[in-house]
Amino acid sequence: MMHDQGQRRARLRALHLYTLLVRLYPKAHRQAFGSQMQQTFVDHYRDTRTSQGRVGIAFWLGVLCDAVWSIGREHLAVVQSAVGSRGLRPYVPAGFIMSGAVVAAAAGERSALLVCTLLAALVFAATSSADIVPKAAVCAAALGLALGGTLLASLTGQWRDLFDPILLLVTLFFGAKTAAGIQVRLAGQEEALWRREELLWGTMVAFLLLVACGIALLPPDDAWVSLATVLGLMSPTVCGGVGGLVSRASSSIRAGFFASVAALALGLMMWVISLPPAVVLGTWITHGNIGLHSTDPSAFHLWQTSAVWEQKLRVIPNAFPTLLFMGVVGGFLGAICGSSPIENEMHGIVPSTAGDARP
Amino acid sequence: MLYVRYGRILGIVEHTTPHTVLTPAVFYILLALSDGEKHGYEIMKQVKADSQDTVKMGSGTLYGSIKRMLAAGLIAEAGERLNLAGDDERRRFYRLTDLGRRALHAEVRRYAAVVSVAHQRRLLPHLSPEAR
Repeated sequence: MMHDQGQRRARLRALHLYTLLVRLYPKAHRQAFGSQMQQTFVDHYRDTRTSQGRVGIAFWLGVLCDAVWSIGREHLAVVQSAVGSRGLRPYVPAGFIMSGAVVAAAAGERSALLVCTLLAALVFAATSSADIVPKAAVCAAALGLALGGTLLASLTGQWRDLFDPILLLVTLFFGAKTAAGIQVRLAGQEEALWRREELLWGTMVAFLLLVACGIALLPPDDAWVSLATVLGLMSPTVCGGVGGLVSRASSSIRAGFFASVAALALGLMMWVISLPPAVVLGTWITHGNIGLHSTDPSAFHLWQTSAVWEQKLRVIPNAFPTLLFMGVVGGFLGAICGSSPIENEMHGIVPSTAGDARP
Repeated sequence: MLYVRYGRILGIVEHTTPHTVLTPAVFYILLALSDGEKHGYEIMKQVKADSQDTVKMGSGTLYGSIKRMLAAGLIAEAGERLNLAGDDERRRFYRLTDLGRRALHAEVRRYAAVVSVAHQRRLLPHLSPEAR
């Protein structure tokens, strides 16, 4: 009797643990199959105890591996179905275009023409309007932003800085994003998706400005800067998820395209953003203080000095493998999101009625 | 050919040769249901037995596959009822649909064709009729 009660308690404990795992599945899956999964687990647990006399670590390892695999798979399926049948496939060429732009920018300021051409092509392709006039207007707006930024930078005498790959990418990104906003207004499609997206990027811009001020005020130090690279390498996964979530509300080509481009750009931005905290941390650890000199009027000038930039962003050479890595991972994510769960499950093909013998 | 994607049948495309490739999980679930309706744990046990312990399926994988197969119309729910094994819990049973049965048949035929070729090339000497 006592033995039975002990077994029952152990089974309830095991079921409680498994219920915690089941909670990690997407809600719809949990609601449809959660109770069945728990029932099946209890059956499995009971059979294992009966046949082997005990439930050991092998049982739990099997349960855990199965849960980890299937939880990931079900969440991916949710993203895939939300994105729609077109998926993030447009992201693949966009990723390569953006990577190409970065490489071109890295080649030097003479590549400005190439970069502008790529930007124009990117924006033109992304503009979904069938009418050539809005397409051209959007394209001109994006180019105007990029060239205006270049002109502004040249007035300060630091125009080379704009072709720093990171600054260039930020310019490209916000140029494309602003162009998207203009296009939405031209097309009269101010959907909730866009308002949320604009809000997100507005927040990111504000944060980026804060980060830029932080960089300006900090003494040069590249300690712990490798941490930023590590964080940068983590970013594609994060940005891929963000891109998928942003495009959830729409299955249009345009939304999918921008969401996927945003995923790549967000990865870059996260890399940029991760750098200053690493510098701050490194400075703090090395010198014992954060070293802010906010009252120093020369701080802004310091920020504009390319030598300081070079010291602070000494990891720029590391940025290129990071960007390439992001492009590859982004393309991979796009390819995954572009295929469907059922396609993965059954390789997309089920036999037809024609020519198949019935039992 | 019937293309199934996102759980919906998108269209029928004629092909000259039947081309069926099912993953082991889908194939063994179809095979397990071929001799009658079963609930989740029965399917799990049957898959393990049919595959001679080579395919071990946890409940996460099983119900993920079931969900996709339901959406693709390969299997269907056969209602809830008490388990014949003796416990007094109600269980949801699943059955093969016509489409699922055809998919299974096509896949088995494909395997049979492969085995036939393997026999002809003497790749399976211990299974050849002469050896037996």
